Amino acid sequence: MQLAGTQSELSSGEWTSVFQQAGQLGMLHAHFTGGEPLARMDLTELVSAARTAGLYTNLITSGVGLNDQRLAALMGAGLDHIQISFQDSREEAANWIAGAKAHAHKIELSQAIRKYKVAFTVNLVVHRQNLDHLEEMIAFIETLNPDRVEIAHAQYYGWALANRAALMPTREQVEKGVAIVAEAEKRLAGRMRIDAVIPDYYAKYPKACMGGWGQRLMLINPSGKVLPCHAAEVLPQMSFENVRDRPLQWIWEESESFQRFRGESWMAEPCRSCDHRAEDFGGCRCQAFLLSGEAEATDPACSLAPKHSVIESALRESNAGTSVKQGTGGSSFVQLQQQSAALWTYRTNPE
Amino acid sequence: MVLYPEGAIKLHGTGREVLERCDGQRTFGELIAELQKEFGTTDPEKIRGDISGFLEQLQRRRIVDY
Repeated sequence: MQLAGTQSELSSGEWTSVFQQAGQLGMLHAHFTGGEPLARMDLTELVSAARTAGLYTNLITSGVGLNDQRLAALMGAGLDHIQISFQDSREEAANWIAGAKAHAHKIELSQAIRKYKVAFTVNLVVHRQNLDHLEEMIAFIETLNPDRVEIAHAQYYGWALANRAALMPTREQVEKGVAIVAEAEKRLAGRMRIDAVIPDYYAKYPKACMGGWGQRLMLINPSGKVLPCHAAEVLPQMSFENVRDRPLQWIWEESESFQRFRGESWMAEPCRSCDHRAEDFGGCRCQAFLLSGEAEATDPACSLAPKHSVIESALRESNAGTSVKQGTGGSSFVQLQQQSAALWTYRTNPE
Repeated sequence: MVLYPEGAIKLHGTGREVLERCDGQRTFGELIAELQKEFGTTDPEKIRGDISGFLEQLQRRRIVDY
C-alpha cells in the first residue's frame, strides 16, 4: 500500500542537493518537520546528508513510528537535536486531543533518547482545555529531563482556526500561565531552558512572524515547493518555485514569492509609519489574510490594526461567562506584556 | 559559530577563547587560571567574574554544563 502523492516527492539524491545548496547559501539549520518526517523511510540518510552539508539537524516528531532501532540509526547519522511533542501530562487527555494512543510510547521514547548525547526538546501545546493544570504538566515534563521545553499556545491556523472557540484560553488562564512559566523558568534555570509562546490574540503587538518574510526561513515541502512560511499556501495570488526547476539561491534572492513581503515597501498604514515595523514586520501575512481578507493588511492581532475588532470579538466570546473585567483589564494586560516580553519567541512550525 | 536548538551564536575574542577551552576535560578552575595567566594585565577577579557570568548565560541556554 502506498500513500497517494509519494511519487512526486523529492528523491534522496534531490534532497542531498538541496541540503548542499542550503549550506552554500549560508543556511545554518535543517529542521525535519511535517506532517511526520518519520514517514520518509530514508530519513537517516537525509539527516546524514544535511550534516555533511554543514547544517545543524533538528527532527521535530510525534515519535510515533520511532523504535529503538531507528532511533539508534538516527543518532548514528549524527542527529543534533530531537523534539518530541506532548499533548498533556494526563494520558487520557493526551490521547484524546492527539486522536491516537501515543502518550505512553512518547514517555518510553523520551527515556530512550536520554541515553544518547543529543539535544532534547519537549514541545507542549497548551490551550483552553489543558491550561488549568499547567503546573502539573511542567512537573511531568521535568520527569522526562529534556534540555529544553517549548510551551506553545495553539496558534489559530488551519484546523485550530476552525476549532478556535474550543482552544482559545480565557484571559485569566493566560495570565496565570505566564506567571507559572516565569516561576518555572527561574526554578529550572541552568537545568532546563523554557521557551514560551504567548497567544498573539492577547498581545498588544503582533508576533514577528518567521523573523520577517524572506529573512530567515525557507520551507521546502515534500515535493520540492519552496515556501517563505508553513502556511503561505493560503495566500492568494502567490506562486511558489520548486527546487527541481530553480537553484535555491535564485529562489531565495530573486523569486517573486520571497520578495513579496520582504522589507517594508509592501506595507500599508498604520504599519508603514509605525515605530514597531522593524520589530514585528506588521505581524503574520497569513493571519492578516485569514482574518481580514487582505494579505497586505496589518495583522489584526495588533491593537493598532484597522481590523483589530475581529480579535476583540473572538476574545469577548472566549471570555464570556468568566469574571474577567473588561475595560479595566488594562493594567493586568500591561503586566502580562511585561512578564512575557522576555519570553516572546516564535515557534517556526506552527501546528 | 555555535549552533544549538533554534539558534546560533557567532563568537569573537574572549568569548571564543573561553568556549574553545570548554573541552569536557578542563575544570572551571583550570579554565579561569589559564585565562588569568593569558590576560595577565587584567584584574584576576574581574576575569573570574566576567567568565562566570558568560558561562552562566550559556548554561541557561543549555549550551554548556560545568
